Parts: sequence; structure tokens; C-alpha cells
Amino acid sequence: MCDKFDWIQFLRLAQSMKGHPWPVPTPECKNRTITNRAYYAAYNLAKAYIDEVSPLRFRDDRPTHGDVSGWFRGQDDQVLKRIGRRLRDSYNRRHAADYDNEPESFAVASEEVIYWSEQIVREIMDKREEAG
Amino acid sequence: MNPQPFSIVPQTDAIRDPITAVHDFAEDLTLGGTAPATAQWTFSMTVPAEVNHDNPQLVGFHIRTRSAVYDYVHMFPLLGDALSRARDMIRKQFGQACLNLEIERLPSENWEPKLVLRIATSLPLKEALLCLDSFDREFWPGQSTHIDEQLLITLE
Repeated sequence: MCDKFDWIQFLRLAQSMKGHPWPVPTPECKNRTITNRAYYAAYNLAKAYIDEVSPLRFRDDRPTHGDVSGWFRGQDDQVLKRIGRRLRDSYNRRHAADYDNEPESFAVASEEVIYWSEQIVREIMDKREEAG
Repeated sequence: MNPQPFSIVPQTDAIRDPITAVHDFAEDLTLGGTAPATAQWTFSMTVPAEVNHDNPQLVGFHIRTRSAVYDYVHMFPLLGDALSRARDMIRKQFGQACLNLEIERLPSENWEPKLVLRIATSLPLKEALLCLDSFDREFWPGQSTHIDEQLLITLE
């Protein structure tokens, strides 16, 4: 019995999404992918928000994931700080989903990252509205 | 069944937190299948006074990497108060929960060691996330930026 995650499942998922007639990928594969996609929705929106309110912040270098969550956590506004902490937690979940060999249920991680990402998206939208 | 006497000779590392040491020992004994889950035990432990460094601020936490956690809290003294406050607020929000403390190297921290408090709860996930969110809104506004840099609080 294989005791590590079968990375080929990611290829199977990609093929299946393109309509290739491969067997349905495992739930773990789907949940790892859900964790990844949900995180990037929030991360890229958060990065865009920084560009809007502080355009020169990352002008000369490409921000890391830690730079983006760190920028939010470094603000005085409690909502922005919370966004930073949620991005940080979600990034750790996403990293595990993308790189950890150990098979585990990512069902919980995927639900959690969806929940935080929904909150981050909502709060950034609110901040944009506040700013007019 | 009558309680059976049992005595533990702790490792130097374990006696910093005798309560957790006994809990871990009992859990290992039960989970390892060497003792029936229904057995009742009476534990006794002798802790030499000169090496008892138990920290009351860490009572109530299940400490996984004991030496590393104690050293870390010693290095960042503000963490002790923050952990006490977190423990009380988590109990209020979650009711019963196991609070696991561990030093971890996480990608978000560039793999630098940080103190991670993981909350293990039997609540349904959505409810646990709501509790964590409420805790977050109450706990973090009163904390300094330094605490946020050293401590991560998340669900198990």
C-alpha cells in the first residue's frame, strides 16, 4: 500500500477537467486543489489591494507570500491585521496541500481556507467601498 | 475496579510540566494498548525541587515540544501573559478544547521557529471557525505586534 500522496493524481485531475476520460481523481487530490485555488483568490486580491493603496510598496521586488500577509499584519487597522493573519494561516495550509507527501484529509483544510478566503474577499471589498 | 498504584520516574525534560507529563503517560499507556481503557490508575511523581521549572502561565496547555516551548517562552517573556489570556478566552469561546503548544517551522515564517497554539475541538468545523473568528476579534486587538510575530493561533 502506498503511504505517500500520489502526485500523479494532480495530472489526472487536470486531464479530467479538460474532459479526458480518466478515472475520477481522489477526494484528497480535489481537496488539495480546492485549498490551493481558494487561497490564491484571496492572496491575489490582497496583493492587488496593496498595489491600490500603497503602489510603491513592492515596486522593486516581487513580494513573497510572507511579504503580503506581513504588510496587512503591520497595519494599524484591526480588519487589515486580521486579513494578514488569515492569509498567513491559509498560506501554511496551501503550502502543505501543494508540497506535503503525507496523505491526510485535506477536507478540513479546504473548508477552512474557503471560509477565510470568503472573509478576506468580503473585507477587502468593503475596504474598497469605504475608500470610494 | 480498585485504583492501581503506579509511580512515574520522569525524564528531566518532562518534569518541567508534571501535569502534562502524567497526562501524556496515561494517554500513551491507553493508546498503546498496554492498559485497558477502563483501568483506573493512581499516579505518583516525585519532582526534585531544584529542577521544577513549572510555569503557571503554561498550565492547561498540552505541550508537544516541551524544552523548545519553555525556552521560547523564556526568550520572549511577553508570550506568557498572552498565552494565559488566550487560554481563558479560548475556553470561553470553545468550551472544552485541547490546547496544543508546539514550536514549528512554517513556510509563512520563512521556516523560522515560531510558537504555534493549535486548538483541537470536537465542535463541527463551521462552528469552530466561528469561535476562532470571535476569539480573534477579542484577543488580538489588545496584543502587541511582537506577540503577533511570535505566536500563531489556529485550529488543529
